[in-house]
Amino acid sequence: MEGGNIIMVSYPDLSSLNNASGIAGLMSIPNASYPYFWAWILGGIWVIIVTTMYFVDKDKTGKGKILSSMAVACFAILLLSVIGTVLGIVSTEIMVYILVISAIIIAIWIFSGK
Amino acid sequence: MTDLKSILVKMVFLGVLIFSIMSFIVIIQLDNSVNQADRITNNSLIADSFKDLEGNISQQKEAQSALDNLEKVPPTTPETIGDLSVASTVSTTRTATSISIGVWNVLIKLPQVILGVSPIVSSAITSILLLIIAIGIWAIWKGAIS
Repeated sequence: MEGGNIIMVSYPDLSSLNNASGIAGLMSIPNASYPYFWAWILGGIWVIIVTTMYFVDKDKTGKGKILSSMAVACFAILLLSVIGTVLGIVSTEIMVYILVISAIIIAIWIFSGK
Repeated sequence: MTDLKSILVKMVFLGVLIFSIMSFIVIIQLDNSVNQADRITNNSLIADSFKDLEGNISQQKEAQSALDNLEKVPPTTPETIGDLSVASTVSTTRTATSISIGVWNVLIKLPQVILGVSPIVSSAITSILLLIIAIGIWAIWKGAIS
């Protein structure tokens, strides 16, 4: 670089794992290069749960309730993210975002009910 | 017409639900010795909201004691004839208000700060909401909405 300093960053890879790392160490490797990796994974799981519940409900009853599916999926994602914080793969920042967004969706679901 | 009682019941239910979710997360993290930096109580906003909700819900005892005091007043006793016991009503009203404010703080103020909404935008939306509520109460009072 012209007129600047080059900073070398060594990202952890599989060679940095040892016997003590365990499954949590393996799962936390992507966080070193992209902190929102597990947030996107949890978001994907949320979408899968929502669409599954919605279309199963629609097939069985003929009418799906997307807001109910979204709110119930939020409970599942909250549980998964709590497990993620215990394993050390979900950071506080992501957990707080998940908690706030889930609370908003659950509140809309509760207040929209007749 | 939207029932005021159902709105209050939903607010209380929502407050208890969010409190239980936060409590669940805090207990799980404490029991599993999660690092201090990774706990949600490390976030000051979450910690304040948790304490706020906890305080609001614990006022149930105060409201119950106020109700008990109100029920203990004998209506036939000569000393109490002509007296108006307002303490119990004030306490119950304060509890209902604090429940609403607690849920408001958690559901409106907390997302505003965490999701990075500008204070000007949030103030404008809050003002519009309060105006709509005031106009709605006036419309119900005047019988325009049945």
